[in-house]
Amino acid sequence: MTKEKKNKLIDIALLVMMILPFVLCMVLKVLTTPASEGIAISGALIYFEIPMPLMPLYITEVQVTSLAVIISITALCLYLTHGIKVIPDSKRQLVAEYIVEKVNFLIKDNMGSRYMAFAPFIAAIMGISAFSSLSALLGLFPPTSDMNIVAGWGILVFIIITHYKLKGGLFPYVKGFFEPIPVFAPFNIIGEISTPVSMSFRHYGNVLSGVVISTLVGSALGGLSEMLLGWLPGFLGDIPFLRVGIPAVLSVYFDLFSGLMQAFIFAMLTMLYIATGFPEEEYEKRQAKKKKKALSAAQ
Amino acid sequence: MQSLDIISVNIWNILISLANLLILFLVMKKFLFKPVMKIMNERQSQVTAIYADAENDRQAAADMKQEYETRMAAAREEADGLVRNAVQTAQRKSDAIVNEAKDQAAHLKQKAETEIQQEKKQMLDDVRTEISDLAVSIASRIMEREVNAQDHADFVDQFIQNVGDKQ
Repeated sequence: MTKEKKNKLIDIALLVMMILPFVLCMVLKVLTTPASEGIAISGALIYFEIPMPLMPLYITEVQVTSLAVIISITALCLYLTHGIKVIPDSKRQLVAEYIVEKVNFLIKDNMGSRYMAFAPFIAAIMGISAFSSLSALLGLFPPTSDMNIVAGWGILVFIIITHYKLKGGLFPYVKGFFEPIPVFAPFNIIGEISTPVSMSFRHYGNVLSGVVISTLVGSALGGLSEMLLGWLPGFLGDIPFLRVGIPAVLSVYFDLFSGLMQAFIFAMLTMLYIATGFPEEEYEKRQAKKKKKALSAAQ
Repeated sequence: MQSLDIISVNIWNILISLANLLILFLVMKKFLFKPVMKIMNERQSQVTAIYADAENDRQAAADMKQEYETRMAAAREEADGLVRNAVQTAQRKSDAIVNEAKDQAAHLKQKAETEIQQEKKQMLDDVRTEISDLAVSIASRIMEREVNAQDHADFVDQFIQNVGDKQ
């Protein structure tokens, strides 16, 4: 087998790996969704549960879709960087470079060049958020409309923010809560905790509200269609004509625009919180002190 | 089949999602950023090398041009010198020739004058000799005849007159 053929086969395999998880998710969804009458706004379907301490772990649609998203993004990354060359000869390499350059530029612009190691993390946040939200376009239950998923990201971001704040030393961090006067401490603590909560609730609420409104409008259009066009003879009267096309307009906003917007906002907030939370002066002072100590110890 | 409540909190799901994001971060770092950055850095270094080469070439070309110009100027100067030398030589030669000619002419003139002088002298000598011969012959003729004072004086006058005519 020639090398060219082999590369082509790998490309095709990666493309399949990119698309197949979502197809499987759709098949699973079609097979398992119970037929329901009327409108039902509920959480994700539970496939099975694993007993764990504290509370059982539910394996739901959301978990499966998340897994599909991760596999798909991994395959996409591999596909984009497969056969990468110094002198680019494929469009996908340009796409990969465009993504990397844009994210790097975003980091440099918003956080400074000290944080360049954050570029993959921000790209991961954007990718997972955008893909999760956009999976709603395939009829899947978008993982971002499950609070647990977005809360997990929010908590991770909060851990990173706190880690960076603690780089200035524990004392300045604790002292920061009692400023400008000690009475403010509870508010400061609430403000600190509200960071991940607001971040995750904003994201999750936006996507979920889109789902809710889409469902409501869809059912309303169905009722309207029955009322206006119910007189049509035979089975024609049963087809909800008004449901064709009109919900797609809403979907453009709630699924496409809102989903991508929230991904961008989440990434932006992550960058800003990390960059502004980092006490640069304290950190420099501490580093200088450490250096001095090390020097004196060496002498 | 059951479904979750629309708002439900599950620690394990949160943890799984957190781990998912971490995994995706590692995936992005390993499979997207690392190769792309590596390629970009490589390209950067290549471009830098190419630019350095180009700069070197340009420098070399400029040096060559400089050298060529210097050489051209030197050659032109040399040519100018040659022409000037030739002109000078020719001038000198022509001067020499003219001078020589002048000298020769002067010499010839002098020689001619000397000859003329000599001839004149010769002629004068000849004339004098003739005069003396004449005088002698006249004297001898006079001796043959009787001479009176009047005759004598007439004769001398005539003679001198003749001599003046002759001259």
